[in-house]
This record gives sequence, structure tokens and C-alpha cells, in this order.
Amino acid sequence: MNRPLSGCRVLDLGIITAGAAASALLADLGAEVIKVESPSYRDPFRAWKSGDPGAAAQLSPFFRFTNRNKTGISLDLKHADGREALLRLVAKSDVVLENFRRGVLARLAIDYTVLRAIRPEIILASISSQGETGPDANYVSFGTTLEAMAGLAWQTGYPEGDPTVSGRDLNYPDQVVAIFAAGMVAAAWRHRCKTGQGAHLDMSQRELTSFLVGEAFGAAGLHPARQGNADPAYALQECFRTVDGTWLALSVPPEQAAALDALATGGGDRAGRVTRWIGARPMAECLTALAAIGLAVAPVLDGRGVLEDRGQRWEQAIASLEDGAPVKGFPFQLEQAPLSVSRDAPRIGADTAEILQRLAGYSPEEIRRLSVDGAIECATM
Amino acid sequence: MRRPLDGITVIEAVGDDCCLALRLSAALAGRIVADLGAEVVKIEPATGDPLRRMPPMAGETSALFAFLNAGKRSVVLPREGGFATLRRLAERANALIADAGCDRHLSRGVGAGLPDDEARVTVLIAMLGGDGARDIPASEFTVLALGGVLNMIGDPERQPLRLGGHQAAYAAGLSAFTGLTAALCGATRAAPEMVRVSLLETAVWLNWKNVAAVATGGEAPTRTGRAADWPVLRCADGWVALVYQDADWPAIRELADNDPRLADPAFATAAGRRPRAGEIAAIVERHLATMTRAEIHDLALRRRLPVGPVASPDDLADDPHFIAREFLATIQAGDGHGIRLPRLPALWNGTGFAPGMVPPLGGGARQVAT
Repeated sequence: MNRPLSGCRVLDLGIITAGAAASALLADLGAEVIKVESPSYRDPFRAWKSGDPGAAAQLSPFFRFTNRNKTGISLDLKHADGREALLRLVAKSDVVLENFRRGVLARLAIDYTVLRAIRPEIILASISSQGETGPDANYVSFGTTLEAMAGLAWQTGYPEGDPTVSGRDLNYPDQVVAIFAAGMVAAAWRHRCKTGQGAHLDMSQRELTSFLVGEAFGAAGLHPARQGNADPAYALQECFRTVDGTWLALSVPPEQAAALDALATGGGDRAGRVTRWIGARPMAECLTALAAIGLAVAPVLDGRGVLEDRGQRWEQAIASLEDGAPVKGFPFQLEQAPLSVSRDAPRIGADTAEILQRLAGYSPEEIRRLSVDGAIECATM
Repeated sequence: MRRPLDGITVIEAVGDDCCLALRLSAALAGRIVADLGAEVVKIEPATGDPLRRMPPMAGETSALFAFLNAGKRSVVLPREGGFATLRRLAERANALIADAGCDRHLSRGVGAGLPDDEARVTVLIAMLGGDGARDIPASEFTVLALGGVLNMIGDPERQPLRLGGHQAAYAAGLSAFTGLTAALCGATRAAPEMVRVSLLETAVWLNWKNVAAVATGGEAPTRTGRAADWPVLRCADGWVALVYQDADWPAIRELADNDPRLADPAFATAAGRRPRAGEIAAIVERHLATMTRAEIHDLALRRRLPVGPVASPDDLADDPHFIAREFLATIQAGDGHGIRLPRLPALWNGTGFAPGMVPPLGGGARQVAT
């Protein structure tokens, strides 16, 4: 089947979420994605949550979620022969995607200048915390750091309360950049197909997080700080606790406020009346009654509730492997060339030998020697 | 500079009764492809997109509308024969971005008047995924509830919180952008492509770690407030997100003036610190009270610590890093007010894509032949 990125070969130096998930989406769109690790530096997601560094042979769930649909090779880029193997692959590839700390590519002597000399039409997609340039380029950041520094945390929180972040278990900036970066690589690939020219894409996660609150920059003093769950487009928007003790989310457009007032009667302000009305009823009754008057209403679900809803209000976001194991699915779907998951995440060096033979022209004997020398790592030799 | 989507025409047309969230999603996707060079024609009702009247307002101009629509052209369809006009525009366009209520007739006609080798794509954006769920009333807020996002934010003893701004809509706008741009690489007349986006599918995709935890047999995580591993703490002139990894612990102790309470051997490992994260936060916060955000920033940069001073949008207008990267640009709105807008968060060979002008109703850079 002809898929949007068929014919595009990606060397994926991405790690953890931001880089590895962007590459995963490119694979879902039909690109051939080769995950490149090193005998001395694994994707840290391989050992995530297992707490056992020796568990690298066993695929961790987070690694499996983020690296399905990829092949995997292991080259020691600090070893001259390992670096040479990478460069031979670059000569046969279209995209190199990375999210190392700034300076690492230059130290490994595989920065854009080097890559372009070998493959003039290469697309280098660099995802970083702060971007390639500027005084904070070397500021070490995780998603939470970026929410703070980008203006999102300042707008998130209870009214009169402290700025608030999405936290480690959600880590919003790392997730959104994966979608955006995949789109930018697709734009660069299209440009390359039309013009034959490559590009270096410098994508800053802090800038993306700020872009996603872009209206707040309009003019000085424009934007009120934290408003909790309120939204100026709604007469009332808040979470309320039902008599079961579970939370319900409710948005009431101004034109439907009267219908709500007719339901939640009594004294005091609207929020107080709704608090009492919902607080006296179980979740199911509240959902039915509020939906019946046309309001947007939903239970506040945890991960378990979200998973149980699969196949009803959503179905694409999580996919399944052949053995039924759940992995990351798709944030959107195409009708003609559906995104799908066809292979499990690679074990370390699973495809090193095959790919070095097929793409880089190494003989089996050369591959054996490189492996003995520690320049590469092969899973099956 | 030649831009990657030069030569592509995109019609952005949501229905007059389309809800706010879908307008925001469609508009964000349109803004991004406009910055990348596409000719984006935004169809507006005669009274204008409701977003033109949405806060925050800078004078008479909505900063929300300006941010989302810079670089597009605005077209108001004639009262008589409006749909036929829209159809003619769509036939000469490569792509249509619409809400899921879009007429099948219209989406089938996209690009019908173009040469065979031109791409043709329709992007349909809905609130929820799944065919049966389209008519359920939903908002960005209820999408975040169903996606498990609200459950993760705020204090455990208080009500769940949404993320600031319009994250549910904008994240789906990113999905629409990426789906559209990828489909433009492949779709031709033989197989015009249909991209389906929903706010909920994107929200669940973003929240995959919580789903993964449960799907692989673990407990569902929930919000932990100030007891989080990485809490937001007060400092002398604001707040700072206290982010650190195991290897950073000595530097965190230094940040807290080597407070003897942090020398507790139980704090020597991440596993020992985790159940007492709230206690550590309280100790560190006492010392941060004497430091400004600028001082914390400089120390973090020097010691390679990932702690993050909390910046407001106004702070960021003066941020040296953003200034050096020319991230915010000021453009003139119709009423003469200057409006600050972020450029696309990507540099192409070191150069940014400058945002275009904000279109007046029914206007923009060029006349549209209908």
C-alpha cells in the first residue's frame, strides 16, 4: 500500500518520549524507522519503572508503547568504526531525528554540517528543550520545567492558588511535541520530494508550549492569571463531587444556563446550587439528567476508566500488538492509508546485522569483526 | 525563503453552528500550515467568526483570533448560492479543514478541479472518537475529563483542574496539522485522503502513560498536588518548579543551603525521598524564599539543574532567550493596536517563519476569485 511517508527512511536517535514518539508516528505514517542505540547508551525508557538495570533484555511497557513499528540497531558512536557505520547509513537515509542534550551531536561529530556533507538532501530534525541557539540553549529541562518557563503553569491552577503543572505522569510538553515534530518532518519531506533539498529543523519544546498558549501574549497585562476551571465562554464550568464521592465535569454555555437553573433550584448562587444538587445524587443519575438538558457533562476518569471507555468514545489512541499487548496508537487516523501497528518494539541490536548488510554494504565477516571490537552490538550472532 | 507548503491551497470551513472547541482546533491547524506557506482561505459567517469577539481582547482585536488566524485570508460566502461558491473554492483547493458535520458532497469535491498529480485531502475534526459518539454534547473540559487529564492535575483533596488555555483543542489542532501535512505527501486523485481527528483521541494519546500503567497491570496514577515528585514552590518573587533527577540531589541540597534536615540518610535515594516528597518541598521552599527567579535561573543554568522558574506571558515578552530567538513578533491589527504573536515553534535552517497579517472580515492579502 502506498502510504504518506512510504520511501522515507528515518534514523531515529530519539530517546524517552519526545524524540522516540515523534519517530513512532513517522513509522505509523509509512516511514522506515531504524532506532539507533549504543552499547554504552540505551534509550532510558528500556529500564523505566523496572528499577532493574539488568532488565534491558526484557522490554519495559513504556519502551514497548513508544517504539513499536521500528527496527533496532546498536552502534557505539564514540567508536570510530561505529560512527563510520552510522555515517554509511546516513548516506542511505532521508531523516535523522534526535532529542539529545544540545552539544552531544557536535561532540559525536555527527552534527548537521557533517551529515549534510555525506547526504546533501538529509533532513535533520532536532527536538530540544530550549532550541539550538540563545542564552538558555544549554538549560537542562524536563516537561515540568518547560511548563513553568513557557507560561503554561502560570495559567494553570486554582483561582488565587499557586501555578500548577501537569506532572510527571502526564508530562504534557513531551507529548505534544511528538505530534508537532512529526508534522514538521512531513512538511520537510514533502519539500525534499519537490525540490531535492534537505533542511535542519530546530524545534524547541519550550517554544511549542508557549505557542499553545499563544493568545496570552497578545499585549501586556491582557490575560488574567489562574482561573481554575472557569472559561469566559461558559456561564459555569467546574468539577462537582457526586454523592458517590466521584468527580463530574460540567460545562454550561450561557444559552443553557436557564435550563440548569430550572433543575438545580434553591437559594444561593448557581455554583452553590449545582454543588448541592450534584452532591445529593449518584454519578449515573447526574449524567443522565444533565445530558438530557443538553449540557456537556462527563465523569472525571482515571487511567482505568479511560481504558474501559475504549471502543466507545475513543478507539484509535491505543493500539494492540498481535499478542494483544497494548501499545501507543494514533492521535488521528487516515481512511485511505490507515495508520497501523505491525511489529513489536525491537530488542537491543535486533536488526544490526541485517541493516548493516542491506543498507551499508558490510559483509557478514566485517559485521562479526565490528561486533567483536565492540563498535556494534548484534542480538543474534 | 521558499516555504515547504508553498503552492498548497487550504480551505478552512467549519459550520456556522460549529462549537467553539472545533473552531479553535481547525483554526490552529490552519495557522500552522499558513505559516509554512500554504494559502489558507478561512470561510467566515457574515457576522464574522465568533472567535473575533473572544477574550483576551487587545483594544478591539481579539488576541485569540489574531493568534489563530495570522497569515490567512478571510472569505464571507454570498447569501445566495453560498454553498456553490464554497464548493467551487474547494474544487480548486488541495485540502479542506472542516468539522465532522461537514457535507460529504463538499469533501468529495476537494481538489476536483486540480491536475491529477496534485494532492487532495479532507481533515474532519470531531469532539469525540467513534462513530456513535458524535451527537453527545462535549466541551474541551469534558474531553479532558474523559481523557483522564483532569484527574492528573491539582490537589488530591480538591477538585480536578484543567490545563490553562485551550490545550484540548490545540493539541487536536496539532493532530490535524500533522495528519494533513503527511497526507499531502501521498494523496492524489486516485486516493483522495480523509484525515479523522478528534479532541478525545488526541487527549487519550497524550495521556498514554496513565492508560499504559493500568493496561500493564499497575494502579491508575492520580494527582498528587504538593506531594508530587516535582512540586511548584514559592521563591522570593514568584514560583519555581522543583525538578530534579537522582544525580541532581547534591545540587538540590546546595540550593537549600545544605539544610541539615536534608542530610537524613533516608533521603539519600530516590526511593527514600518519594514518600516524603512533601516534607522535602517544605524544607527547600524555606530556602527558596530568599532567592529570586533570576538567581534560581542562573544557578540552574550553571549547575545544569532542571528547576524551572515560573514565567508569566508578560515576563516572557522580556525574556532574553525568547528575544534572542525572535520568538515573539508584534504585528499591527486593524485598529492600530500592536499585537504580540508567537512565531511557529520551529526554525528552518536557522530561520523562523514570520506570522502573516491578521485578516479583516472578508479580506486578507489577496482577492479570492470565486
